[in-house]
Amino acid sequence: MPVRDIFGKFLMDSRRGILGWMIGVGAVTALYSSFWPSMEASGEAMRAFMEQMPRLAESMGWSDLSTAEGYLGSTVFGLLTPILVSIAAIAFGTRAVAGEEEEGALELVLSHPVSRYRVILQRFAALAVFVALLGATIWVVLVALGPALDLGIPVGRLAAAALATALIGFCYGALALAIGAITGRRAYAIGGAAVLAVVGYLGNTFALQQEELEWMRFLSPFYYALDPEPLINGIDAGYTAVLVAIPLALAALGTARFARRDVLV
Amino acid sequence: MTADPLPVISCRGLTKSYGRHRALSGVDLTVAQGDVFGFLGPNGAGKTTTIRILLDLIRRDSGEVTLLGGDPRRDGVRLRRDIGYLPGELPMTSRRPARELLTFLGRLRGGVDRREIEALAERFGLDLNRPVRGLSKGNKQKVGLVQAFMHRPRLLILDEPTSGLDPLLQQQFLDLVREVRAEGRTVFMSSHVLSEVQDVADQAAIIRAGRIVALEDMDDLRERALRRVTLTFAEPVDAEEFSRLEHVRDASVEGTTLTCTVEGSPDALVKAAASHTVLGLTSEEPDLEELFFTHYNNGRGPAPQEEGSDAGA
Repeated sequence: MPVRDIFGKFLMDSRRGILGWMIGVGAVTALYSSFWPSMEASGEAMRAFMEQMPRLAESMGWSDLSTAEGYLGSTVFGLLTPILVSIAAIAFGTRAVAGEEEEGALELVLSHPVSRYRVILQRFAALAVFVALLGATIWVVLVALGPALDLGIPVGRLAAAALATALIGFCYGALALAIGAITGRRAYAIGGAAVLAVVGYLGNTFALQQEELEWMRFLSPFYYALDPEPLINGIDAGYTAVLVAIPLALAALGTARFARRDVLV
Repeated sequence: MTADPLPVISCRGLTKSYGRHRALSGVDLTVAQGDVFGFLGPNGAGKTTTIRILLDLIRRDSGEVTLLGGDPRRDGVRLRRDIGYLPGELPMTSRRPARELLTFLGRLRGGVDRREIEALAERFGLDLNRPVRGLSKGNKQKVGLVQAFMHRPRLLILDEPTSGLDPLLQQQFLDLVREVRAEGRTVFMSSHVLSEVQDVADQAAIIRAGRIVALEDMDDLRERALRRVTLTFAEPVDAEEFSRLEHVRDASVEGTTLTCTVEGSPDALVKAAASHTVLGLTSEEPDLEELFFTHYNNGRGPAPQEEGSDAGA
């Protein structure tokens, strides 16, 4: 792979990290989806448990653990991979501007004949590639294990769910990148994005128990990704558009400020 | 050397504040084409801030800057094509070899001749195959210098270029700067001491607390420089004969040994001495640094690495 440009260079420099996250996300996906056959066997007991404690089940995001869609939607897609992918994307987005700026690497690149727009837009593009790779990993693992685990979920539905997961990560990664682009501070980027990710996750789970907190879910990419139940319904055009619009808006905000401010002071 | 009437760098009334801290309070600078300009000052005086404004990494609050006929704020991308920059701090954390980093940086400039990179690396004794992460400070500095010089820019802006280089490499570096000047290219380099740049600089300015406090033509400075000269002759000589000479002061003779102070050219002294048999001659290097500072401090003594409120440089 040639180190042609800022975009390729940044991906190449991060390739160990990218590979590590792909392995991690793939392993978690494989591990939890392979519990499905034993889960299916104890389906009756689980259903009874959930009927007794509906609020706990709802707050944990467990909808229906007796079907493959319900099980995967509650575990792999409802909790584990969105959180892992978000953490990975926040780390990536933080390093993309604020991290490199504090290190001083950005100064060297920007002293070359490149515009700030070019640098930051390519970093956003690299983030998009990164979350796409993680989403693709989840999809490949499930497609590969599907027949053996008897999941019986169409490949397209799995793709829709993996896409939704990747987009959750894209939102938070873009948030970290944008905060970094605006402030130049690694701590703000990682802290701000992590806090909002926690708020977003809780907003779509525990906050649902409180009617007065229900508005929180509209601030949550988890809501837009998970509520349409992509494993059952496929891609929801409207909610997917929201999940794409959030990172694009963040990119625009971050770029506008980054092009004007002082780098590294 | 002022072949081109248009200065390569011109700053007028440059100011910059970081919040309440005033980093620059009206910097005026002019650098002519083909000159080597030494930009001196203690840490935190505003050297790096000025340099970063030239590269459009930092945006000035007020004042005018013209660089190679453009404004870094408006024409940054085009101007940076003709600039080689060595940052004061080189972050090199990649596990990839130096060659790859240099190739990448060259591509940002639309490609750089590989032979140029090889030649510079060989000159500085830099192994391009080693990962940059593990390099010593001096070797990282070499990578920085190679990337600054490799595209043969019209203007070199070097922030503390000699830091981390051993004396031999400092000489190598100064030779390179002389070659660049001989080609009519311009070098703007910062340092916190004059001695690092005095052998090569045509002009030097001192910045302190965000203001230029001294500007000197180095040839003029050398001319004013005082040096102690000691001459040993075969026979006793008359002090009177030498104390009358141009540029010679405080001549005194003890037996066959003459000691005196020469201000500027020692020409008259050498010619007068030549009429005797000279057995020995020693001349101390003049301390330009001291002269530089005393001249502008009106005798307040050599200046210092002080200035209290220096935070963001």
